[in-house]
Amino acid sequence: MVIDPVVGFFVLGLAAGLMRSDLKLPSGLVDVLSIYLLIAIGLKGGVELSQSATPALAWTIAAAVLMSLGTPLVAYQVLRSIGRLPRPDAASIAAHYGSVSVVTFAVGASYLTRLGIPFEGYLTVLLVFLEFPALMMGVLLAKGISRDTPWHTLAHEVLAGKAIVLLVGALLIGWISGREGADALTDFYGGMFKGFLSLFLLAMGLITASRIGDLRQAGLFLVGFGIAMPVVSGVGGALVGYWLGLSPGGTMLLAVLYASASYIAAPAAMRIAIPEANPALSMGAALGVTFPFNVLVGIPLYHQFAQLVHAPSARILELWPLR
Amino acid sequence: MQHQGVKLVTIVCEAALERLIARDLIDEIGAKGYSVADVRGRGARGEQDARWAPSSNVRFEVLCEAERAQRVIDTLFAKYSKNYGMVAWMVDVEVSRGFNF
Repeated sequence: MVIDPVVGFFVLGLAAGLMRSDLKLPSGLVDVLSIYLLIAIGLKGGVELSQSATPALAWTIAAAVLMSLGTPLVAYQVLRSIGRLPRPDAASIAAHYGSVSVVTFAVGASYLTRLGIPFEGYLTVLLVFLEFPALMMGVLLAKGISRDTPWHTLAHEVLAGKAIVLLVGALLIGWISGREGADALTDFYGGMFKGFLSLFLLAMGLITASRIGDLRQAGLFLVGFGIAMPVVSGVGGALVGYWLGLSPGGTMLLAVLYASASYIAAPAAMRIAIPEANPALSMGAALGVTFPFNVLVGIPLYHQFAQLVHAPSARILELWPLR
Repeated sequence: MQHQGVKLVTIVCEAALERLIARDLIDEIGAKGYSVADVRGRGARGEQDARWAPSSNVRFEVLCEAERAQRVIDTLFAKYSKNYGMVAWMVDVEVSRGFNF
């Protein structure tokens, strides 16, 4: 099994944190790295879009977003009925899982690039549109449609938040400039991408280790949920990807998007929108369990799912050859 | 230095509240200004590590007269202390010349 070196950096950070090393990445550096990642991903997507955008894309996006709302609904039901969690907590966690993780997407894309598997450029556009509907759904689940809900603040928090602004902005810049126009930027945002991603994952490893205490609050149920939910969503994503006519690479990335849980945009938005929810539970699950799971196990697993839906008989024969 | 019963109110709370409290201080409570800084620490709600934005703290400092100082604390606690970690204190201070509040 070939392990992507960037994943090794995550494990390194995790190990360093768990053994209480004094290694510390300054918070300013982590901010810069996340800004870089968002721009790089958006820019690449925009350039790809300039080569291949069609009006039919709007339907693909709408369909993908609509299907993605299955995740928070299923998650909410499971958390309420089986997990017996209070309504605000269930809604907040559901919102986290319905939204997407840009970093997990980046690791997934890096995985495909390393294996030489192409994927549709417009997946970045899907990433942008999948970021926020689940957050709105989470608030709806928590509060119903009431006058109390700070819709204005929430909308501003999400749509004017760093992630969306940078992703959409870089996307537009890439789209308008096209491949030739953005050529001068390719060395920095393309060639150096993996290096910066490795540093970011080192930071994420440290942060995940520092929040391991959250898991104690989260309890065994949420740990199990943190593993089972992404797998279920990953299957759903693979099926939707195939149905939407994505390539195997694209299907795998859509599965990654559905399976990932946001721990940048969602926690900030939910902390304001659903104050009664305990952030230790949602962060514990999303960051403590799901993120490491997706990065270490999930991504290759969703790749298997994608291959399975695209050529089930061929794949099954590969796994269990007839003698 | 002026001796005018000026109070320094300090509030330490979750960073998520920064924008909301900043607005409350100026619009609702009528403070003339404030300072805010990023801090980290440990309290009843667990360790607030400065490494990660969603779980860090901020510290607001407001200079005002005694009655407004009490209003700062009462208003903010009424609004936020139920769901967010928050602690506040006030002290008497002497302020440099020419300070208006």
